[in-house]
Amino acid sequence: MNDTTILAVDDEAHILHVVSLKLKNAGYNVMTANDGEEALELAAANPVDLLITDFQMPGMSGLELARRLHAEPGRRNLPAILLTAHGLALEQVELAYAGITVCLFKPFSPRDLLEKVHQLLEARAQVAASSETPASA
Amino acid sequence: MTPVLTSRPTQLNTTVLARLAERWRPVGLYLACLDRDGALLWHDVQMPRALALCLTIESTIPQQIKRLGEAVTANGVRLHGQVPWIQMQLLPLLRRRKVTGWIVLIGRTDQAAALGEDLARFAQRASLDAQALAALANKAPLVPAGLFGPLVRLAENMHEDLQSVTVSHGELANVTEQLTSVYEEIALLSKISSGMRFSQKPQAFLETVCREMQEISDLRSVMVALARRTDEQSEMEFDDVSVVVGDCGVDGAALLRALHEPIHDALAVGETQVHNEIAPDCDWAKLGDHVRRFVCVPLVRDHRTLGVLIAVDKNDTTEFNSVDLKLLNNVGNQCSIFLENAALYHDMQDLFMGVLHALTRSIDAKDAYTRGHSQRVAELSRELARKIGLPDEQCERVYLSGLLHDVGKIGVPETVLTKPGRLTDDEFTAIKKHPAIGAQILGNIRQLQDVIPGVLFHHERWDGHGYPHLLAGENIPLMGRIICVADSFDAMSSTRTYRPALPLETVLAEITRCAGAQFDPALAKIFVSLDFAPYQRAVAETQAATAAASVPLLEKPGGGV
Repeated sequence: MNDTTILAVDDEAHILHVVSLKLKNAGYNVMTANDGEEALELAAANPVDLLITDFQMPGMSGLELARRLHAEPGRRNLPAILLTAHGLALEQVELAYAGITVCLFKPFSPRDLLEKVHQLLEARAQVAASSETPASA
Repeated sequence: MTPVLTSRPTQLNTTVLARLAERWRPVGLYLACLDRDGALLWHDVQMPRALALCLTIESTIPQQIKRLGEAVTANGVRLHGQVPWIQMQLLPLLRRRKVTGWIVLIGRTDQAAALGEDLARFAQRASLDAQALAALANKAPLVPAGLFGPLVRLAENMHEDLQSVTVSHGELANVTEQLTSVYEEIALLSKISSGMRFSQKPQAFLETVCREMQEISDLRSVMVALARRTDEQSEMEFDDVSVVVGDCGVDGAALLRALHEPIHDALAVGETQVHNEIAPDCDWAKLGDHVRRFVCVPLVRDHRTLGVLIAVDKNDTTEFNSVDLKLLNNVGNQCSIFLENAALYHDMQDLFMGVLHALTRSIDAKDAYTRGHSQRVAELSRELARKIGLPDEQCERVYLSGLLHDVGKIGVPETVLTKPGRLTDDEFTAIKKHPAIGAQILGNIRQLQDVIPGVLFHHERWDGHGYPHLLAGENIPLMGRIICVADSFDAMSSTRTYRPALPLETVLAEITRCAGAQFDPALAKIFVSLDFAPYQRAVAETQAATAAASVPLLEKPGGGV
């Protein structure tokens, strides 16, 4: 777990703190950023295994951030979780286009979030493992 | 080397010390940490040996500290070391103005020389000769003597800053933890209130709520006991728990009996009762074998007792604290709202059905022969609907339709309805109006629009020779076709003015015979396969009631059967 890095992005500091604490306690590395630009800078210099981002942020939206990250080489399948408030209806198509795997509504349960993170990373690991099996089997 | 600590408590934060040591090493100042009495607890592993020796061999530090007594200045204490070319400064670690330990800053401020007896003795203790010791010392970086003091003061300031940063981090972590649990609570309450459906059974809702609560607060068991719905009761009794999540080693009913008093208190006062320990002499002391702590949350709205929520033990064995109680109270409140509304909803349902039954019974009662008819048709229709696989909600609508199918008879003259002999054409025309009249009566009630087809079309025939609209086959709405069969069945099975009740086999044969003509053949086939025992019981009951009221059935003025 210690070699898994999660990038958490939100303009609200308290959410970053809560998410960060919850994930760190579970053994993950966490990088935090307050906006899309900062997040991209961090992603440029560090490996990222999962993205958690708020939707509404000043400047770049969470969707835009996800889109840009997914466009980077090797990051096409980066698992991404979007946090958004109810009422900000996002079309499935929009979410899929940006590569968002899971959408969580605020107020969200930190427990719930942790579980989704586990699930996504496990799924990704399984996909990686199965793509490594030799074709001669 | 990881710092070795004794079990004696000091205000020691090794992360801070390590960081401090790292910053001052380049300048030639090295760090160590002593306990309150001067015993060495920790020193920087990169400290040059010569300096380390001063702290360990024949250290006079404890005595010097003792001599200080209470006169500890905030600026620290310059110590006299074993050798003149090494200087030491002691900085107190204070907690509530009491010394809990010391930080030592030590550095070489002069060229070491192998002079003097004291030095020779010191060297001997270290199993070295004076020359070797001096050589060793000169390997340590030199701190300009004049700078030692200022540097030490700087180091001290830095230590304070680092400590306060560490404290802030700690506080932030604490606040964040609390914030996390607040988030969970808000998410749960939001989920509960948006998921409330007052028409659903309390069971399902309460189970969800209890489970979420158990997970969030890591409780051993959560249960809800619902108040029995009686009108007047001086003391609320609970028979058994309605919902239980988790296992506390005691069965629900037994727990309720044992906790009779705390539950009563909670309800009487309207306040949650927390028992973080079970006294050995109380009524429920026996529970102490299985259970350590519990909380009783009363579920009350407007002085109406709805139930009680009981939480038992936390899995980490800690006490129920204010965070737990806040969540329990909030959740209890939500449950109360739900229960009250669910009760109101069901009251309304009961009222509605009660009125309907009263209405249709009164219409049926105009003619002694049709007493109970609407109820029986409603039940038969519902059975048939279930048998053909309609969803439960639909079956209930069919029941309603069956109940109301003859409501239009209220517009038919009583003389026609109760006429014993054959009807004239005009009289027959009057009776044939009752489906349309019924539909009209119900036409203005928005909530009953979907049951009107059963009322309007229950006299249509599969072959199109029915009334009022001469519909045929599948053009007749399903509800109408269903009630048609049930209605005819009950008519044939009841005693009438012109003939006695036909036996069951005869009626079923007749229905089969008329399948495709009067009745939907598929429905008829399924209908005859129903279990008629409940029906026959209902008929017997009605007959018994009628006989008890001594209304003669087959006797009519002028005789005639």
